[in-house]
Amino acid sequence: MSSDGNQADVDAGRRRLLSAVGAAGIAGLAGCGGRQSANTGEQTPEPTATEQSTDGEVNQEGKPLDSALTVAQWAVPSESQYNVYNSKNDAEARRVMFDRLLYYNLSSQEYEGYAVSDWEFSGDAIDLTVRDDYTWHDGDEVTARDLEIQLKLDMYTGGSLADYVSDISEAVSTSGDKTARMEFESEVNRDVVLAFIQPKRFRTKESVYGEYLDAIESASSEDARSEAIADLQEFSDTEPIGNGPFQWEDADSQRTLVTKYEDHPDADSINFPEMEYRYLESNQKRWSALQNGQTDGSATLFMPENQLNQLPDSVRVGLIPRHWGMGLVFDLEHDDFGQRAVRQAVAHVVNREDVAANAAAGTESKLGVEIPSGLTGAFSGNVKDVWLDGVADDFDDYSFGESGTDAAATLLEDAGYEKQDGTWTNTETGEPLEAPIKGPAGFTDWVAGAETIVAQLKEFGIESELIAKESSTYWGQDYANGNFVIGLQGWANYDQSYPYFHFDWMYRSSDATEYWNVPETFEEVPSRDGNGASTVTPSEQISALSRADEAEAAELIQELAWVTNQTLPTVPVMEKLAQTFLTSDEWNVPPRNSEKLQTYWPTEWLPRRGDWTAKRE
Amino acid sequence: MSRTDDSPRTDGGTVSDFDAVANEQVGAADRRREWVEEHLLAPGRVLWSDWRARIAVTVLTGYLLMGTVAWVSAAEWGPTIVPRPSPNQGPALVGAFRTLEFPLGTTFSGHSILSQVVHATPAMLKMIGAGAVFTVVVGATLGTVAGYKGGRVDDVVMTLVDVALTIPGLPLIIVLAGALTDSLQGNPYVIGVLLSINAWAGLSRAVRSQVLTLRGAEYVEASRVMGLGTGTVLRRDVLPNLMPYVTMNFVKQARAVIYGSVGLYFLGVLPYNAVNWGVMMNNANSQAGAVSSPAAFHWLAVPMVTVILLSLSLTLLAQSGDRLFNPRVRARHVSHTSDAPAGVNVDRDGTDRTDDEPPGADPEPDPARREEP
Repeated sequence: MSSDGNQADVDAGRRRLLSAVGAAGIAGLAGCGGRQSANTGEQTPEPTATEQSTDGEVNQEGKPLDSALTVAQWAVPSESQYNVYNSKNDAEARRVMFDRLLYYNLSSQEYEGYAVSDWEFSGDAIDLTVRDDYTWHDGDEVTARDLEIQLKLDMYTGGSLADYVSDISEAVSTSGDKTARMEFESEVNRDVVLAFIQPKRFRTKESVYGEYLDAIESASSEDARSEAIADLQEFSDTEPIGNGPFQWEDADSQRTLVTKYEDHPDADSINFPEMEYRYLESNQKRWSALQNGQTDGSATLFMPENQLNQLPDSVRVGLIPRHWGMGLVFDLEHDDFGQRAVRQAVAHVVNREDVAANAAAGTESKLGVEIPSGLTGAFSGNVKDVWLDGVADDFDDYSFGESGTDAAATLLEDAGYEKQDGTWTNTETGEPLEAPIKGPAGFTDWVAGAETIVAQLKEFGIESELIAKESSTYWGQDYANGNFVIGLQGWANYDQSYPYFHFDWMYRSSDATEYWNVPETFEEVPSRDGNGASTVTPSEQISALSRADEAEAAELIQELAWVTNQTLPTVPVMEKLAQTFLTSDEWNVPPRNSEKLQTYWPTEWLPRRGDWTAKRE
Repeated sequence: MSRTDDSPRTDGGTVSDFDAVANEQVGAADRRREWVEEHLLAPGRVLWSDWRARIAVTVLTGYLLMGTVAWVSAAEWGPTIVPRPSPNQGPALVGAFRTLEFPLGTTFSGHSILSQVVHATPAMLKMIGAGAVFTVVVGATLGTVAGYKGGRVDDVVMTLVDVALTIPGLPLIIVLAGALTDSLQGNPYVIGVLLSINAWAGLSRAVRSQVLTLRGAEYVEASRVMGLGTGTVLRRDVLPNLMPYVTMNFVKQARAVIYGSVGLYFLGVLPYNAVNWGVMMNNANSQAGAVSSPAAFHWLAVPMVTVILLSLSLTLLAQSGDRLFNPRVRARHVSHTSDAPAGVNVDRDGTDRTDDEPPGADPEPDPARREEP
């Protein structure tokens, strides 16, 4: 189920994993996901579940052994609501009640149609065609107008696509019942547009949300518009009309019940009548729920080795790259950590492999970042073999796999620090170099990793301590007020794999500019060929990347990766794989190492594709 | 040799009072010995005669020792007896009592649990001490003054107490912890006081009511009639009678601080930056689900046992403390070894006096004192 957790095994696992992926060969810029064999700890291939048919036909005969597929949810079911623009309690049952616009295939790294069955770029516009025979749960046809409302409301409420259009109200139009067209201000990077559109869930039925869009668009003043937007964000949709394969049935204090919607185009792939979302509000409860069979699966859940060992044999664990992980963010206006050399010294001292191993708690779900450059996908070799193909050796790996204390000492000495009585001290001010690290106590894997970082910094002579705060206090007060010297934060853009999003997050997001104080320009960035240095404005390069064609994009990505590697506005520490859980006692599910598991949210996609079906009596 | 005599010769006796006193004079060394006898040895013997106290004192000494070991190990000048906890000290999740190197096992990150428990001790003891001392000092002082003085002072103090009593404790602590996060970091004393922020109020009320009874007692009235100052009367006549109750509260509050801090650390309400028993339990639960995992149970059990033992020994100590403050019992232990002349007792300020004097903070049993309701 998992390796036995010592360091050597983790390393071996990683190498095995990388070589396997390397042999398979990863090519193509488009999808940029990652793939890797599901769980490398499992050596013997597992027989595919007996009733899993290969021709796509799902057995609907007899009675299902378990009538409801049960998974967990975080929000209290009776307090859940399903208006995506209202940030509160948008509960997990949305995953089966609403369809995503597109499917992203992690294995082939390609987009596939779903609620939007077809799309076409033409010049600086994209045409999106809504799937055929596709209805809302009240029987109404899903139309292009619904899609228009979705795209516009997204932009009015802060969606990033708004950056690429001149006037939101004009940007989306419909032609006929099924096709919506979105026009951009100028040529755009198609990967960026698709990456924005793909994860969106189709939620806006015209009869429910149309009035909100009308109110926003007919607002006479900015204030009136803000008010209309606020109205939308306060609307609580407790009994939603969805368009997915399951429809809302009931919610009480303990569970949300959704029942199969027979008219969904994928209804034939599903052979069980219900799905149940149980209220399990802590990881610990979810662990025991899987161990004693209360839930039938979990899309993503961190489970340490000792708990994995307690799972029954019928539970299968897969690993899915998340293109995300913990990093160190700094107050870049801080006297010490505003200096590039000090951040580089920190990167050298921190042994990122050790940190990842401790954070992973005996599992293979974390990997130390080998080349800190803002690029993700190290699990599948994407960083070296795709994005930095041929130039990876130019990049600084900041003593990967060790504590590079010598390199760090040189950097600090050159920057005007001196080691006095075992502590690095600023020679000018006489102040010791202090590195308090704040983090959310609830992110336990991060806490375990940060404890390791603190120990390594202390060992080196930087006065460091971990200040772990209650998660909401940390995110709401310390982090959001920029009240930290070093903070823990994801260094990449969650749920995205294309590098544009990570650079955008690091240099242009409100987090970067407001909380980390990332400067607009970076001076004296060494050039890649080793000759001289120049002033760089990453945000301009990122803008260019959002509008670049494929060849330009590849070049720009390398440029930005280089700038990030040299300036380290954040120090990427580790990248994570999500653990995903499926049970095979009452369900036909793909084997552990199946590529079918390589999708974000398997609990959402596998049933739709007939790959998670009930065993029948 | 009454204090009130102006002249030593008024009674016409053959031996002057001065001579008599000189013959019986108690020197500085004697006084020190007396003090040690009365304040350390006698209480020690009283305590030791009780099995509960014996257990409690042994265990508490163990904790003090543990704190000392941590302090010495952490100091630069001292030998490292128990190394400071750090990640990757050992392999991940070694069970307890499996290896000599990590007798209490390790965590997922390879911290030695023994190191964590030991190095958390000084801060915990400081926190517990600060909270308990704060409660007892504030509570007993305000309660005594209010009860004894009465009138306006009583009204003002009791209003304060009522206000403090009506504020719900835990939410107040949580709110304050949120507001004071920066000053709380790494300061166990502040956390200790914070956790006892309104615990003194209950004690104040109880003490006041006891004082109300005591102030009417004959010997207290006598002291007043003699013109002794309020402070002296309170210190000598009133407080000693309250001591059993106050000590019980000291211990109670110490336990409350342990539970409170461990609970709040467990919940993640208090910011933490050092090893701490509550944090250890929290990590064991959140990082490894130790409650339901035999492989990680030691991670939870060790700090839990540490807390339980400390709390238990404090309780035992408090129970036996009742005897400690029973003047009759203590006096018996003093008189066993005391070589002070019969009939002459040494008062705290060193003046000698006879039995017919009004009782002060006298170790001699006084019937009036023991008859309080």
